[in-house]
Amino acid sequence: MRRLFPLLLLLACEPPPDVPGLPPPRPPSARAEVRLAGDAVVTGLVQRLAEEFTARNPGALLVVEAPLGGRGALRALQDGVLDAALLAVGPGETAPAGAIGLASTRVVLAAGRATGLRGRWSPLALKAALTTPEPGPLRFILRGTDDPLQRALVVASPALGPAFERAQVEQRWLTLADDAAVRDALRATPGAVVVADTGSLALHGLPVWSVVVGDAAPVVGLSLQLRPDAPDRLRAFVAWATGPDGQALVQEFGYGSPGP
Amino acid sequence: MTAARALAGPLLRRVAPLAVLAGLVVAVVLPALYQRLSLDERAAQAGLWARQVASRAAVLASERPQLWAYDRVHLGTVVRPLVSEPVFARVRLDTPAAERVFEAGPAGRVGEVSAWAVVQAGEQVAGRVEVRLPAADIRNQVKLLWISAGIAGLLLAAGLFFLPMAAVRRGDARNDELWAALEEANAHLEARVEARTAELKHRERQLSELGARLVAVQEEERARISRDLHDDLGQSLTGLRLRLTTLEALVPAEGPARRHVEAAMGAVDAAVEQVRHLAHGLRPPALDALGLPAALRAHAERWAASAGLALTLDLAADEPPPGPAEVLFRVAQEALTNVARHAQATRVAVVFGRADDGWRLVVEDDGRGLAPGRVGGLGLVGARERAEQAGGYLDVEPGAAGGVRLLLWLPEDLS
Repeated sequence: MRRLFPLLLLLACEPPPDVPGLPPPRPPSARAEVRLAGDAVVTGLVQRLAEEFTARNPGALLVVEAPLGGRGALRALQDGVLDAALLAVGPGETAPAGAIGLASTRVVLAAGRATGLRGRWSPLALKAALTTPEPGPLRFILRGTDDPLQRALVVASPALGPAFERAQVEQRWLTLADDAAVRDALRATPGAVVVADTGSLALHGLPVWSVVVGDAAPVVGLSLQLRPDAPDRLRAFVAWATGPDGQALVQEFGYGSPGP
Repeated sequence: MTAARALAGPLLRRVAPLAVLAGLVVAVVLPALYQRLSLDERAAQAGLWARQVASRAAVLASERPQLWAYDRVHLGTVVRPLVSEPVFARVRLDTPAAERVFEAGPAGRVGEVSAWAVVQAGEQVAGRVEVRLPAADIRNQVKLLWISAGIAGLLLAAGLFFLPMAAVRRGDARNDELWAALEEANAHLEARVEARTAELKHRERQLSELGARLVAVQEEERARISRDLHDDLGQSLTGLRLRLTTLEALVPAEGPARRHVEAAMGAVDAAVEQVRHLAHGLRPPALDALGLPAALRAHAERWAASAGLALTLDLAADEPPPGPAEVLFRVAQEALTNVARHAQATRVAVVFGRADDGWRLVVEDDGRGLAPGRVGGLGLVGARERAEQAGGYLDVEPGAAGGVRLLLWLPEDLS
């Protein structure tokens, strides 16, 4: 009996997990370039603005990274990996303190022209198709629950929220995280329907049918969050982009002015 | 003491610990083992997913060495199948620069079982991934298992202890029934044996009485024949002798007539002697006239004189009743006759007296003794039967001087 109880205790106890160690962090090296990254919906616009700014100011060395997501960008900004986070703020959401408004865009559902569904699908029919377990002739392409456009659409039409989540969990519909992949799928996939914004559709010149879900298309604000010790050339870029010249370009690309 | 009561102690000492141990094994070990195996299986699942996430994260780390850990978009596609129902895992990513760079999945009690994997980007460790899986369902199952296994263990322990006891009690009851039946049969048998014994004793007593009667009748017949021989034939021969004596005086002294008369007188004398001898053998007159000791003494001395043996007599003066006296005398006669015929002895001792509430006669010689395995001739067999019919016994054994020692014991009276 004296040997039995330790054995029982040994049986009942869970072994502690084997936690692998990490090497010590490397000291941050000084960067020559200015690095910006964040939500995909902002990335395309900032990429075009950076190109224009660099053309006017050679040596600005602005590097717009592939999309990270807004929260990831804020964490990277906090860790000093980024110089500016590109954030999209949807309805009901609050931009971080110090965020600088850059533009705004409206969220719609976009269908490739190849669907041939123009005139035959309505927001109501689309919602019904989204909430139907069987996708039917439409092929919905989702971006993930962390996508600000998707969040904005759910705010505008709450019934879509569970449908999106269930679709992603059950993997009934294609989920693409990469913005370029979404655009490619929209072009090439018959019946593809994606959550998109009017600015990106105009910026990339995508031939789609778009439909507004709800009474009005929800507006998403696009902004930048700078590192406290952001380099001057980044501050110069932000000043230009939010200034008259930059805003003129923003509206030319198809985006609206930043919200209040 | 019943077997159940007798077994209660050993059962308590030996079976009870085993029963308790078996109950503990069922009630404790099985749920613990189930919990351990289930948690191990859940941990193995977490480890598998951690390695999968780390493997895919390693691709991202190779493509974007600086920003991969913050890329919620792509990391989300990697972990999304894990962090939602029905899996409900929580995934955490650490890098050398910072902990919890990326975290997804439900918080709270979810994450009781965890596993880690390393994100290897080329030769360098780019980070580590932890996948935590819930174990509340396992613990709830184990709680139910504890309860059910505890009850089962209790029942098992009780069964292991009480079932043998119940079986023994049933055996006891059956034994009691069998014992009762056996005792009843035994009582019946005892009664039959007692009845049979009483009947046998009755017949034995009848046989003994018949034997005694036979001996008495035999002795009476012998006495009558002896008297007839002595009184009638003896008197006739005596008369014949007297007449021959008279005739002898009448015939001349010389001549054939006188020789014939003398021959006839010799034959008559021989016949008279034979009659006397026969009469004496059939019923010694001394036995009736003087009693057993004197008759024994007379017969033994006469026998010793005729046989030429040294005689030692040790005869008590007590006089037994006629029945035992006749048996004692006849057995002494047979013993002395056997000594004369077979023993080749030189000395004989005859002892008579009271012993053990009865009469004892010992005849011992220094002859060659009995041959091995031989118990005596017909004479001894008859003597033994005569002794047993009289309620006594006859032992024939080697004597102290190397011959035969014959011991006869008879009860005080044949009645």
